Amino acid sequence: MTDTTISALLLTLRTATLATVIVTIPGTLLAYALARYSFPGKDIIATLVGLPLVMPPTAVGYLLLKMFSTHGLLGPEFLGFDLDILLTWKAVVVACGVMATPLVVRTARVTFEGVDPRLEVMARTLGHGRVRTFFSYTLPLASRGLLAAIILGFTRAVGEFGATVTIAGNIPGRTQTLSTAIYSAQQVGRDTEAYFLLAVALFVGFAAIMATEYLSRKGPGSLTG
Amino acid sequence: MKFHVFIAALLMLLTIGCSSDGDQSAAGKPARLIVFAAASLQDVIMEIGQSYEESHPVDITYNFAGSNVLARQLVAAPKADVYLSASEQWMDYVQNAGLLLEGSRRTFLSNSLVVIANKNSQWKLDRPADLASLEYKYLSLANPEAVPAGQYAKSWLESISVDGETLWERVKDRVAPGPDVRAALGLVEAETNILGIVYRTDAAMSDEVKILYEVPTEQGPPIRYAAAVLRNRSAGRVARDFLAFLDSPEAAAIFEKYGFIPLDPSKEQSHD
Repeated sequence: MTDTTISALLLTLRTATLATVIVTIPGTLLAYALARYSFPGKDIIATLVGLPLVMPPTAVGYLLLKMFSTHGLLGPEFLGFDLDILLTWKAVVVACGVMATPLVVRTARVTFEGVDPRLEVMARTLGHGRVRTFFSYTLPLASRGLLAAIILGFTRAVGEFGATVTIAGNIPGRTQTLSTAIYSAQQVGRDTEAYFLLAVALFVGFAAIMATEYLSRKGPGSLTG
Repeated sequence: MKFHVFIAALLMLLTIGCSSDGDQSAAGKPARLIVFAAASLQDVIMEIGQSYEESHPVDITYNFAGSNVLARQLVAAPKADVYLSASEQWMDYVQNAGLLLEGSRRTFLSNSLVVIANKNSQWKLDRPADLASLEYKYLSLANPEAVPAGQYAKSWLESISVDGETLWERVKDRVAPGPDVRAALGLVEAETNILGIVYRTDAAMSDEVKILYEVPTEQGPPIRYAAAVLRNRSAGRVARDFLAFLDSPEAAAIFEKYGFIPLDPSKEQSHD
């Protein structure tokens, strides 16, 4: 096992975790808003958030590349300071976060839609405010579905390739991730390394899908458990 | 009923474009020639191919990538009639797999290396050794582990010594490896704090980069492009003819226009 293989694995775990954490909190709140309220532009927002799911990842990557490049909307010339995203580990987080967002938001939205709104109304009649109702009733009831959303988002982040390779590159020891390392190892002919990384990818994927199967069989969360 | 019509139409659509490759020109249909060529040859081979298509009943399909990628694709599934590699090493790999038509392999082209930077940058390189001390962020190369352009660049960097170390040792932590030489070029086009080493012919294709240093041919590693026909293909005759066309004065003029150095086939050693 080479140092670059280990660093690719560690970078993948670190960036995928960070991307999932960053996406989950606003993603969950947005999903709740989409599930419970109607507001102007709701369909547009839902569609925009879902886009990375159906667009070619390289197209998303290209869009991000243009945004963060020198003259882009988030580039140093426009902002007045350099975010220093491109070709760094931060670009991996951005790519993974954008690509994981639709899975988190859509799964969470369906989950919230499955929570009976009458329970929330009852909580409100007991004198609880909106925030307390959300945290003490809605969130626990939706916990299994939300966990599934987080797992799906995380695994999407672990497997991200197209957008990542476009804005972060594939630099061993710096921005090389599990999926870009497999690509490199395969192209160069380092089959042992490719097999090892393949095994890791299989294991992570298997565990994640098993977990979501388990969560969905248990049905909706309960207030006691 | 309408559903059946829809399905039938769909099936018909699907069969279009699924004809087998390598058709011979029996019924006046142009023969199909599949050419796998090194990424650095992209523009020049397409122009030569176009000129060949104008005078021959041939329809050429191209696959451009790093020569290593092409070689590995060919060994996995030999679905090309002609392979144009940027190095002898990857041609050896395909030959050792027993895929080449005997007697068809030849060395046909040479090239040279240049150090480049984004045209909007202020970088200056008086001598190669300065690559060790300049404060650029990355040195963009085609993957030096496997892609010919990167392998040539690496062996040039290894041939220069700086304070008792090779220049390669001094820069290797800053190397950003790309899947092929055009990707390495693209990185320099996109960023001002990245230097790159590509073929002179690639740098000439881009308006976005400038050449900081030209590696003199005698100081760099010998760059040799190899061409061969794959065996057991229905378009074998056309493929041999296309390879012969690459040695023609007409093709040589196009190669030279793009900055390549055509090699006299009679003076190059045969590898068979």
